[in-house]
Amino acid sequence: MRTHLMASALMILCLRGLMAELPQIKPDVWEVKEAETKGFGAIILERTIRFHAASVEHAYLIRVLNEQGRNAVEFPKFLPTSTIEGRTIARGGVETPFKASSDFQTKALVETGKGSLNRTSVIPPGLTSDCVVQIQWTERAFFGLAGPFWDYQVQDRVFSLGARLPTRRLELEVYDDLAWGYDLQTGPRGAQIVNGKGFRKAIFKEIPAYEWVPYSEESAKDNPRFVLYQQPRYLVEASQKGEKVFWEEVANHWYRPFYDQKIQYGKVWGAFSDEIRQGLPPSRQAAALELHRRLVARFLDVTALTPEELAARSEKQNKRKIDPRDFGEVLKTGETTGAGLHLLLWSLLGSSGIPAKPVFMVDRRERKLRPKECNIAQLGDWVLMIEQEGAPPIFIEPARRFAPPDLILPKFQGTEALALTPADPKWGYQVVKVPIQDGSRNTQVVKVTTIVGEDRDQIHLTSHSTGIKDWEERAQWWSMLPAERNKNLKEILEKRDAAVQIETATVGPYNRGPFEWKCDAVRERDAARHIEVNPFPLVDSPMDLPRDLPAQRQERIALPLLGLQEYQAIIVCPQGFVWSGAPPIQRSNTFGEVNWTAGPGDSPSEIRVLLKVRTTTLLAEPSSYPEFKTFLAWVRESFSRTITLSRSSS
Amino acid sequence: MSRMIALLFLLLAGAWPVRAQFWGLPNWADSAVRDSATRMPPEGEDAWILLDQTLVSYRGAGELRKIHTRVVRVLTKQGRDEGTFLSRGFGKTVSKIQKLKGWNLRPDGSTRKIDRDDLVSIDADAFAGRTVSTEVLSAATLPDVEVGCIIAFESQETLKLPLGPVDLVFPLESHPIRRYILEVGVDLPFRTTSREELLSVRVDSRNLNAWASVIRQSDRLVELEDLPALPKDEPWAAAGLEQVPFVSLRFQDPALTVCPDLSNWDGYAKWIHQRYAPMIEKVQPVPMEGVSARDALVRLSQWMRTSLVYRMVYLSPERGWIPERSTETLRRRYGDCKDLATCLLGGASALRLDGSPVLARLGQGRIPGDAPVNPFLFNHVIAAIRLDQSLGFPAEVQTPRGRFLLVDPTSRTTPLGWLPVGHRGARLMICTAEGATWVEVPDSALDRERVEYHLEGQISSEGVLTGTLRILESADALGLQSIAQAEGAKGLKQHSLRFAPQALPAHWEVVSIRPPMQPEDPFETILKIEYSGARIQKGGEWELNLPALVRPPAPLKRTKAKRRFPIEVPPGVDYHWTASLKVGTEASPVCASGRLATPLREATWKASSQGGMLDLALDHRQKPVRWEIKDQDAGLQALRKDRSDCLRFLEEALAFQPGQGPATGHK
Repeated sequence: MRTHLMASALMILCLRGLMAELPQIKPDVWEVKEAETKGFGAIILERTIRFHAASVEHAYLIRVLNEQGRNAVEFPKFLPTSTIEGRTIARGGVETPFKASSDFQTKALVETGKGSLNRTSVIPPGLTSDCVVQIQWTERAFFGLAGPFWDYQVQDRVFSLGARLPTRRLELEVYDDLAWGYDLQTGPRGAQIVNGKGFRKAIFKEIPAYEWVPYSEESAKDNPRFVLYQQPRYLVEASQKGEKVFWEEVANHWYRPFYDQKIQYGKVWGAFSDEIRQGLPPSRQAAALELHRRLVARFLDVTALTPEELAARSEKQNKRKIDPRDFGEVLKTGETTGAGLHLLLWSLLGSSGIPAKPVFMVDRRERKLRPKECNIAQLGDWVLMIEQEGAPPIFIEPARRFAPPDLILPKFQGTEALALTPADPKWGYQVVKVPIQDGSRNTQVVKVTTIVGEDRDQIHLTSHSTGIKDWEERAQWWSMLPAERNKNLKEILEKRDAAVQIETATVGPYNRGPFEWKCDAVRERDAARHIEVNPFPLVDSPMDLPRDLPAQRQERIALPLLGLQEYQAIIVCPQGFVWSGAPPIQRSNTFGEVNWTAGPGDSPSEIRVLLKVRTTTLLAEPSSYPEFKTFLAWVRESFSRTITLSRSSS
Repeated sequence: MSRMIALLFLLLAGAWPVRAQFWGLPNWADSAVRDSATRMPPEGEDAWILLDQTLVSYRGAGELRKIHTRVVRVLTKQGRDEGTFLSRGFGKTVSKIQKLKGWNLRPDGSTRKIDRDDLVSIDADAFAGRTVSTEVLSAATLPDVEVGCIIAFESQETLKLPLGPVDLVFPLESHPIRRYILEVGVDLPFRTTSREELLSVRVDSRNLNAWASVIRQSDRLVELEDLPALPKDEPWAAAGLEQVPFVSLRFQDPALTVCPDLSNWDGYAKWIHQRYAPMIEKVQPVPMEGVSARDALVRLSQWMRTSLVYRMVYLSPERGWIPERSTETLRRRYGDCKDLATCLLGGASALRLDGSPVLARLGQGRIPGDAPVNPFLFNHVIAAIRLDQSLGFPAEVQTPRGRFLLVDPTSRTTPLGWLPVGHRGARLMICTAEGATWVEVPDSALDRERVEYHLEGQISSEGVLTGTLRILESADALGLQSIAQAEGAKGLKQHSLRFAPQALPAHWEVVSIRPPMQPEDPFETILKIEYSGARIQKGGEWELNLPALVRPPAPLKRTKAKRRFPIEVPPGVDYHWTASLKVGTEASPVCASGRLATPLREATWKASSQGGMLDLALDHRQKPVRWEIKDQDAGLQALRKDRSDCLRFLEEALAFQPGQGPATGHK
């Protein structure tokens, strides 16, 4: 019995020795000053992430300095694991170890008949407004070893290394046996890189807390990021030979087959090609745009039909499978897909001697193109670039409906993109700049007529949009049938002003541009000393006006798009009321122009108000922040101006 | 011949169940569709529930089985949500969906079907902020749902709640219901300790008459026709238990010794007391010796309010009703309402003061005096400390079972001795060892909500205001004290921006925060502010555009539909606002003093001007008022007039006539 007990005790001691213990906490953690938390009330003193082949280790040491910091301590959910240890230590030394039975919960995040995805949450106990929290755990890696679909999988995960709290020191280790590729983006602050035996380590210092800032985007923050990516085996092998070999492999074996292989032209392709290319303009770019226009007029992209168009077709028509490479069938039916239009344009451009380059753009709001990150999952939308001497290149999105195909979506403007350069025998690649378009084609013109009464106003409003504004507004209502669009518009407008009753609201016509919506409304008026009229009711401000802007800014400023918003108002005054006039607003700076003018209309009872807001800078450095704030203040001032009518003394 | 007849019979018999498979909906759904075929769908609705039928059976040992059938006609695109079966459960140990079938009969006659294999369960906490619980959302979506579809679902769910076989059902939904049926029954399996002859089954309904066109009821059945959709967009709706229709179901099984006795309130109160008692462990987190009981309780309460935070963490289903031990709550430094109440009672027990948990209902109307016995009427727990003699606190109540001090420890800004205003008009149930003691919360027990604003500064000739805004807040009236506590100066700034007259002020910074030192002290914060457009020309007059002024009520939409709920306006915050502003030019207030009195509010205004200085003062109080459904037209008219009068009052108060000086600034 005694031997048995001794053996058990020895075994327990050995097991305890094998378990990783929490590191000792240095006394200087209690010297941390509240100012170091930058107003967050807590700071991550040390954070460690270690990526192994089949597991990820995490460790945190957090110092909490006030109530706000206490409320901010939270840990992400993680894959279930049995190796979690943690404790909270209050000043004075009272220690609260984490208990598995009461401080962790493992629960299915999603469960289906085929299985479940479980996640563990930690609810740290014993937090006070002056304490230290320490925790470490090891979770199973979501990116295990190569699976049976290895040859087809393309995906990535982006880990932003900033947290909700500022981080004093972050150590990231990546072990060489990791099955996925990775890219470490250290940001402008950089990191100390250490290459060890079988691993690579990056040490970051002073990572600011993640905060959302108006008119900013993730990629512009330059926060340190760690990207894990998975792709087919042959691309992994190519990436190990360097950036050039990788992208050439991508060009020639991932994308090129779409253009080169298995296209069935059919018997009439030749005649069709000759006929559709007849009489094209001499310049390449104009010819490309004209060719696209003819294609869209000739072929229906069934992947971009509106609900009313789908409803007008039979179920059989809508369910028919289309092979975009079977040009013979496409010519016969007149129907193809978005990819099919892309391929048709490509082929016809080739036949016309107009070299087109496939270009893969990257959404500037989330990331920047990094060719040295051998990861095709970073690439986004896919267009064709046509170059021409003496002119900037144009980028054609063949499948875009209801908007000019050479309009570049604002999220891609001002970026670098990856262009493939077709050549025989081998395709190449290059990095190209996607320009910022001047916004002259993006307009919204709102016309409002308000017949003012002493107890109610009658309002008639129309809105016309072109370019990107058209495309954005149309997208809002795309998935609805006409009656639903009108109902949705009515609800949106009534939410904007509780005093308004919308009598009619009409969206469209939908199938042609410029995009239009209109409404008739009645607005009740309370008795008052003066009649105050908002010249532009029921419409949003030309720019988003947050309640407040931070005093300082580190991030690049990004506007949603460039263009012109114009508001034309006619106010018909009731008898016995006069308006004493108002001085104009005419302001401009690098961000654009704001012009507000008001004056008499065609008849003595009319007042005309005109507001134009034009934005001319899409992206700007933080040094322009004071100018930007000034520009927003002008927009707010002009859009919120009302017309005050007073009773005439006569 | 006989062989042929036999074959034909077999064919027909075999084909009959096939009918359901190939010809659309099951028979029960078909009947519901045919029943409504001669009626017009309700106007302006997104979907019409043709049938919602639930059979709740008691299966013994505390287990309920719910068989639910439902038929819906989709009227608009927004109504397509009805194509998703959704159920909220407490986790597999408590609730499980045993069977599910769904049908989508499309306008073209084709049918889509799903079954239990299509069910997906999602962690309900993903939509619940920082709550951690065992709750799960189970959903299954029918494919290809569009306008004109008929959707049918049939499900079977078993439930075994810690509270036993009891439920509270609210029939109204966001879409109207043509026919609603709730039936209860007993279906004991062969092997069970429960005995049907000993069971008691209670079905109690309330407020059905006001909502259904036809009501058929018996002791085990509630059948309703033509229920409207739950009204939305009714301002100041008194939508509590005295108005909404509900049905309480309970099965009283003597074999269930661990579940509460719900035959009367005493039985339930005793059960609660018994469950809480072992959890109320004696704790002393702060020194309490050598001081009076009153001071010791104040110290304990102050410590709890600064050291413990409110958080809902339920790692097992019964934690929704059973608290944590006092010592465990202290270890965690957080707890929900039950945990904090139990911890407070643990501290009181260290002072040799007995206490009891108190069940309450917050935010959803008071519990009526004739409410059926049902645990789900409550959604909150506070504490009652038994006192042999008064300690002089307003939140003490004298009852037939003794004197109690009521304490809500979830409110970190309410000092001991008062209750937060959320308990206004409430009926609470003190759960003692002897049974239930109901008390009404007196208004005198409530922390008084008051706010004072003091603005000092100047307005330039260009209409730019620079100055300081000092805010004194009592009883967390604006939520500023709790925001400052949880989010610091940064959070306080964001929340205080709602007092700014316009977006993007040039400057709006919190320069000081002072929490209350004594219970009667207000919370104070001072902001440094600057913004343009503080002075606006209107005709020959100027109008001031100043921060933190009372806002007039929002306009009321005119609708054709009659209201379903009475209009009830609660009392508002005591509001006191002053401004002392240098305007640099002579200015005469149009209205040196004014008074506003409507059924909903009272306000006074004073303004004076001397030597380029304006001194302004505004006092305002919203009054409680109620209009029953039959008086709704008068109530709506009064609300509209109140808005007009308020607008006029403020317009006159803020208007002044300038003396010499250029006219600048426009709106």
